[in-house]
This record gives sequence, C-alpha cells and structure tokens, in this order.
Amino acid sequence: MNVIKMNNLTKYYGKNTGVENVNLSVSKGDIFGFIGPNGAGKSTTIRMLLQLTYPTSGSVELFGLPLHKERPSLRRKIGSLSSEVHYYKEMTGKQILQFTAKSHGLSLQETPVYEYAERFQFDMNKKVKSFSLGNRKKLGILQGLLHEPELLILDEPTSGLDPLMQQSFFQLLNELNHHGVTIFFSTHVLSEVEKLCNRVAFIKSGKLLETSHMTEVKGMNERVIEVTFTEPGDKRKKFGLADIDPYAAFTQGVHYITVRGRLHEALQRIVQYPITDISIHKPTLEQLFMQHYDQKESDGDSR
Amino acid sequence: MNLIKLEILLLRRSFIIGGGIILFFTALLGSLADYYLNNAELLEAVEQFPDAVIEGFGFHVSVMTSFEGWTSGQIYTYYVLLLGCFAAMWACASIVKDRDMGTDEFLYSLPYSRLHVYFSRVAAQLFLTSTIFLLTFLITVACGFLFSQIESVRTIFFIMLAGYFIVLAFSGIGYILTTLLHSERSAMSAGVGIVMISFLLNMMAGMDETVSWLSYFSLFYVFDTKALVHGDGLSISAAAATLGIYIAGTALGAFLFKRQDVVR
Ligand SMILES: Nc1ncnc2c1ncn2[C@@H]1O[C@H](COP(=O)(O)OP(=O)(O)OP(=O)(O)O)[C@@H](O)[C@H]1O
Ligand SMILES: [Mg+2]
Repeated sequence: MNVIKMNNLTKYYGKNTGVENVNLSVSKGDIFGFIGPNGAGKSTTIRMLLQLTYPTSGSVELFGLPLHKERPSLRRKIGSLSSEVHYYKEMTGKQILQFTAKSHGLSLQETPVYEYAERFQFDMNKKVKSFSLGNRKKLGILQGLLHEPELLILDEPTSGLDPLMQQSFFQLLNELNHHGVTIFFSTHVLSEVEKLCNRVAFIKSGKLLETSHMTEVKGMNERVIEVTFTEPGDKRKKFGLADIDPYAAFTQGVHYITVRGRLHEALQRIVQYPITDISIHKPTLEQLFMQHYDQKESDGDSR
Repeated sequence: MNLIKLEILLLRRSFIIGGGIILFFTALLGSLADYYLNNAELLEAVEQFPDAVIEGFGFHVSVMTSFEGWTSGQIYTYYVLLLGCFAAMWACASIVKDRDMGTDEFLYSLPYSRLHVYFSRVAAQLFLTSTIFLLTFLITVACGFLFSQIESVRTIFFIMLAGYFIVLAFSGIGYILTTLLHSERSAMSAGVGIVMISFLLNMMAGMDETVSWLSYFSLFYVFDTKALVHGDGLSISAAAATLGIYIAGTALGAFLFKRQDVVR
C-alpha cells in the first residue's frame, strides 16, 4: 500500500520554481530518504504533504486520500518535524507538549513523551526562549512523536543535534519502523540516508533525479582514494594511475582516484610508491549528485 | 478550547497592559467628573477650543451638565480610542504573528483546521475585548455613584455599548488585514493606524463645514452620543453598520486565510 503518492506534483512561488513534476511513492514500512542540496525543493515538497501549502498543479495522496482539500483529522496519523522548529517563546516545553497532546485528544500521561524526554535528556520544564537549536529540535521530536503516528514526515530532523543525539534519534526511528511506522525524511547528509533508509530519492533544482532502493544506488559501491605521494608533482601518468581510473584528478598535491570494486588491486598499485598520506572514503553526496546529474544530461544529449 | 486558551495566553501581557491603561483612564476621568462639571470657568474656556478639538475629543459643553454627558464626551472618547487600538492590533496580528515567530508550521500541522484556528483567535479576542468593555462600564458606573450623580445607568450602558460596537468594527478591519501583512510589527502599526486615521478624520471633519463629509469615513462618527445622553436608544442602523463591518471583516479574513500558503 502506498502511504504517500505524488503525481506530477508541481509548486511555483510566483516566478520561482519550488518543485516540478515530482512523481514519487512511499510504501508502508519504508524508511524513505529525500536527499538534495540547499534549495532543491525538499521543504517545498514536505509542506505540501503537511497541507501547509497547496500544489500549483499535480496531486498528493496520503493513505490513499487526495489532499486537494484540507484534512485536519489525517494529521492525527502523521508526525512531523519542520526544519526550523519554532515554538512559542514564553511557554515551557511541557506546555507545548501538553497543548499538542490535547490537540490529539490525549493527556500527556497517555503518551510516551516522558520516556522520550529521558532518552534525549530533555528538560521540558524550561521556557522555549531559553532553548538552544538542539533543544528546540528535541522538543520538536517529542512534539512530533507523542501521538504515536503511523507516518513520520521530517524535514532535516538531525540538523542541530549533536552526534550522540543523532544516534539516539536514528535508533528511535529504527525501533518505530520495526513497529510498522513509515518514515519520510529529507536531508543533505548522505551518511544518514545510508545508515537508515531502504529507499532514497534524489532531488535537485526542483526536479526528481532518481528514486531507487538503497542497494541499487549507483556509486554506493564506489570508493574514493585520496593520496599524496612523497615525490612531489602530478604522478598520474608516471605511476600509471590512469589505468585504475581514467578520470583520476590531481589538485594541490593530492591525487583523487575513484574505484569501483577491485579495491585491493588499486591499492597494490598505489603502495608501490612512497606515500605521505592516504585516505579512502565513500563518494560524497556532491560527487554522487554530479554523477547522476551528468548522466542525465548526457542521456538527454544523445537522444 | 485548547486554541482559545493558547490565544489568551499569547495576548495575556498585551491584555493586562491595555486593560490596565484603559481602566486607569476611566477611573481617573470618572473621579474628576464633578470637578469639571461644577467649574463654570473651565467649561467656558473649553468652549473657546477649536471646533476640531471639541469634535475630536468630545468636549461638547452642551452635554457637560451631567455625569452621563461627561461619560459620552470624555470617558467614551478615550475608551474607544484605546480599546480600539488594542483590539485592532490583536486582530491585525491574529494570523501574521505565527508567520513572524515561525510557529506557523507547528500550529498548522496539528489536527486543527485552518478555520478552527482562525475562529478560535477571533473568539478569544472577542472575549478579551468584551471583558474590558464590561469592566470599563462597571468602573464608570462605580465612579458615577462614588464621585457624582447618575441619572440613568441605562444611558451609560448604551454609551459604552456604542463604543464597544465601534471597537468591534475596528477588529473586523483588522481581520481583513491580518492575512495580508508580513510581520507582527506591521500588524501593530496597522492596528493603531486604522484607529488613528478614523479618529483624525472625525476631528478634521469638525474643523469646517466644507470638510464635514470626512466624518462619513470615520467610525467615531457612527453613533450620535449626544442623542444617547438625551435619552435616545441605541441607533439600530449604526449598530447594524458596525456589527456588519465586524462580521464581514471576519468572514473575509477567514476566506483569505483558508487556503493561504504557509511558507517561510
Ligand atoms: N516562499 C518562497 N518564495 C519564493 N521562493 C521560494 C519560497 N520558498 C522556497 N522557494 C524557492 O523554492 C526552491 C526550493 O526551496 P526549498 O525550501 O523547498 O528547498 P530545500 O530543498 O528545502 O532547501 P534547504 O536544504 O535549504 O532547506 C528554492 O529555489 C527556493 O528559492
Ligand atoms: Mg528546507
């Protein structure tokens, strides 16, 4: 069953494009990563899912119900977290949580909020105006989860949380997912998506580039080797690096070599020469993006 | 109820300040009534004031012979002016304040419809405005009994009720503006602005016969308080006009807000 379904979803802000013709569906039980750089249209899409804005054209369905008209009761099934998480400054965290619980027809005692507060080491008795961004984010998490929703729609949930808290948060998301909660979240951090998601969509400049299962994401099995040889200068030709990666780059004394599979062969070749520094990592989001983007462009050209 | 309580909580400080100022002025003016009313010299001096001031501030010496007259001229003017400003400010800020504070994404992703939020705000503000109206009326009557003589409590009630209707009309205009404004600060300026413009138009209209038509654009002119002092009932058409503006403004505001984008 599709929990979220977008058909040619388009939103313009006057002359500015928010998103254009986005087609995407999220099934029950998915942890779906929505990934893209600043200004890609992530928040624009999420605001339409939360009925904060309405599409210019195209449509969205949640749990099979179209959102062309307001459906406030549907929001009882949805937990959300906005990217900037602002709350009424003069109220305490607890007052905000009580207010939210009441809006769902619950009392705070009926919700798992105290358990979560302990988990995230969150002091709910302070006023919102004294909160740091991280604390506001924690309040946002509690506020978004207290009614035990079936679907979570989160806009950059981890920005502002320290690594430890990010980890606790991911753990919680995983647990919830095991209990059947569907999760849709946006981010520009690839590692978050890798850790958590079973499906991922890439968006850039308002257009959906690709949707795939995590295991099929092109480039996920690639590794980038950054190496500085003791002997100075561009050694791409001399050391035969082009045989490993014909597009190997050299900037400011560092060689960048991308390998797909056969990592040991590449390393054997490299370590024949004296090295001052080496690191091996997964391609950055930027690099993956560029690959996707270049590919799409050249596909377009060849047609 | 949850939303109404929230709005009252958000307006609490402004309500205490606004209510405090209005009640203070009412008590002050109410307790001074006899001092002015019995002071022939002072009234003569007032008669020499420019027409615009007399019209604007309600120094109608012809009715300054009773506590009711004093109420219609003095207390009434300050009360409408001040409560009008606060009520219009609240109305103008109803929707825009969440945009300004960034709390709109939180508020509108709760399981409340837009109209539920909107009308809860309207209801909460109506409650606060009505509370100040009733307290002002009670304090005026109390001052009348303590420091002067009251001939007709009914007349005083009608005078205050007329002011209350005018204040509601200002709120109605505020609800139209609230979806169009971009910050809470501009909402405050707009709220005070519409009341001041109305007040000044009425004042200018009093300057000269040739510009007396200006008063038709002023809500301050809608009720004839001098007639109320002479025992007339509240004008039905004036009540209908002010309440009409309130209801129409509220409805138009709701219509504009219903599908408005919540964006940063
Ligand atoms: N209120 C608005 N008015 C005009 N243009 C807007 C508005 N909101 C967003 N946009 C434009 O729509 C595009 C998508 O913005 P959006 O906020 O959805 O990006 P995002 O992917 O969430 O980025 P970020 O990572 O910075 O949060 C951007 O080009 C932005 O300039
Ligand atoms: Mg965003």
